[in-house]
Amino acid sequence: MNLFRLVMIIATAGTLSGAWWLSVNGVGGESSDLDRSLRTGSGGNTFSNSSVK
Amino acid sequence: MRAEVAEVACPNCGVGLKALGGGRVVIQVCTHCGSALDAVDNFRLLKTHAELPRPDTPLKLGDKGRIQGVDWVVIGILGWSEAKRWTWTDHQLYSPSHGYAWLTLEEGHLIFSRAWRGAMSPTWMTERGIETAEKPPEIAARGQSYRYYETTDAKVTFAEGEFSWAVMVGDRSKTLSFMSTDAMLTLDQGPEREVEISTYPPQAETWASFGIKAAAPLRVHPLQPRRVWRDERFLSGLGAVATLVATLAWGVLQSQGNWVEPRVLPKAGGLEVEAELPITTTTGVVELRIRTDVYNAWAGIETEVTDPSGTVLFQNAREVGYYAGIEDGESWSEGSQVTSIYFRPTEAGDYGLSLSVPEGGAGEGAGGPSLSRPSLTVYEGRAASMWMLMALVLSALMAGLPLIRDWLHNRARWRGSDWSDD
Amino acid sequence: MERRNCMTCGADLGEAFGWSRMVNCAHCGTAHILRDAVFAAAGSAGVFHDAPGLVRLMQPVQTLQGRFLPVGVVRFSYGRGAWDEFWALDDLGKGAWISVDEGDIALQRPVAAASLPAAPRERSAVIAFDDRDWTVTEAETATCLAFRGQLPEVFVLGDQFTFLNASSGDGRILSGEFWPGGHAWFCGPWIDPFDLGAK
Repeated sequence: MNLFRLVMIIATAGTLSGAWWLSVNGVGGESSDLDRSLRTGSGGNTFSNSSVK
Repeated sequence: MRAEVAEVACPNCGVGLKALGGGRVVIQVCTHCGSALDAVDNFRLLKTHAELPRPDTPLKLGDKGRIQGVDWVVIGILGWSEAKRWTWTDHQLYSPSHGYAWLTLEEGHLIFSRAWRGAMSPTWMTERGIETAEKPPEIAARGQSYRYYETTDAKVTFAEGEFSWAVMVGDRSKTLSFMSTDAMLTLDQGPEREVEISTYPPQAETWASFGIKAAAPLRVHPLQPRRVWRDERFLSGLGAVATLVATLAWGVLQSQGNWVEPRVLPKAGGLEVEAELPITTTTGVVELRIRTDVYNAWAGIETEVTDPSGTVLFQNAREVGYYAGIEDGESWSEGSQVTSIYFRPTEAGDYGLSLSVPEGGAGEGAGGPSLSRPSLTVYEGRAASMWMLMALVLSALMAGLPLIRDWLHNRARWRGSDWSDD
Repeated sequence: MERRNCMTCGADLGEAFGWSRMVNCAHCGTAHILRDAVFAAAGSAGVFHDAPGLVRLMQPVQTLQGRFLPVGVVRFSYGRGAWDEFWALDDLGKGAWISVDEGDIALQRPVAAASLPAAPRERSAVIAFDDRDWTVTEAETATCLAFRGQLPEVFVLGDQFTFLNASSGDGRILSGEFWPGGHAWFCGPWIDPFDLGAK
């Protein structure tokens, strides 16, 4: 087996393991529309552009 | 075979001309003065051409080489040009056992052509037939399909040596070419209706057999086979294995997570939900799946989640809408009754959730929420499976590498085709 | 089968005359013919210059149409050059002509049809045969130069005849041969020299 093939096997295995670790740990798995500013009572305006279709 | 004629003297300039070809040579063009001699009629002078620009070729008359296991000798050289922009050089080859063939040098590529007398279906194709065709016409021959490639209208700009057909400087030739995966059929539109088959010989090997070291050409020739990388099959196989692993892993990750029973507090009423979520792990993310029964209606849902210490972790506003009906006898639906919110717990413990539906309406109006109280399903330890999905796509690309390269190569091969769909 | 001996040198000619009408002695080159049950020496078989070729006497060749053993050969001149006609037997012992002209190789068998003319036609003339139109591509005069081996017809050195080749674009060649008082037609496929294997 040549070096290139060995490197490619390791890289592939690394990519799959890395993807598994990131997935299982939920990295980046939060919804992107979470409002973390601690204002309360707001949010009504969010619907002002409501148009489903 | 040819009756013995080893050398003839040019009747115009007197220089000795070697006869290298066989009995089917019909014309010999003087290497010195360019006079065309009739090889059929005792080398009678037919025509004399003044100094013509020599085509750029490292091959010369008498050069010997090997193609497809046959020894050939260069007996004639023809320069061609089309519309003064494209130029190429044809070398007439002769073998006592295999007869006459052509070695063409075009943009650094060597192409080997010879007469094709096998069966074709249809047996002939004309320029008119191409012009009136709806899609690129095809010819079946040698168990392959040859698709129309281009029409060539070329002029002979230079000639020297012997040729198996009566060719003169200034002659025009119109040909139609059709290409399969590895060969080209060229239909000469002249009265003889000759067909030639062209293939792409191994370049370095062919040059070497003629004793010439040539540089590799830059552009892809239509007949050029794709260069397969040394490790291409290995990479493709590795990619296939990785695709399989990633697919299985993705399936596992999709179903990852444990159901958490929310303790719904009775104090809320109407469309509002107050609940406690007993979260036990900080691995992965928590999914809040909110299910509504909106039907041809929409609803704005506000949620607020507090961590076990009572601090607000986040607020969120979502909109769900679901519309369905029957139009022209076909049922349709749009939108969803369900929405999921994902968040990362900071510690294990009881998280607080409050959910309200401040806005909504039937149809697209804003006449107020039109639904029952939303129901809540909660999972913890959910995976962010998009990472594995990305790995899956990468693996699939690697597995499909030969196919992708085939496609790119084929696109490059057909780029020069003059077929247009208009 | 009856065996014959060379009438000049006495060498064994082999079991030759089962179907052939002509054979030349492998030892001294004298040609013999069998005509109306009369066996006679016919003199010289001509000078046969060896030329490189894909088909050789007594060496089986594999074609897409089957395996053939060339048992006889006649060389004809068309002036500027010459070509060979090999009489070859297939595995069933049936004969066919394999004509070899510098890489142009064809496998032909005798054909007959009312539409085939008894006299030569000019180049570009059209002949009807086998429900197709055949265009004459070549019409010339040939001279018998030499022969070797066993042949189904009698050839005489220096004999001349007119021949034509015609094509219909279906991968076959139709040939007509014309001599005073007779004519014959042959048809069959072109053989790609690159498809020809020695077996």
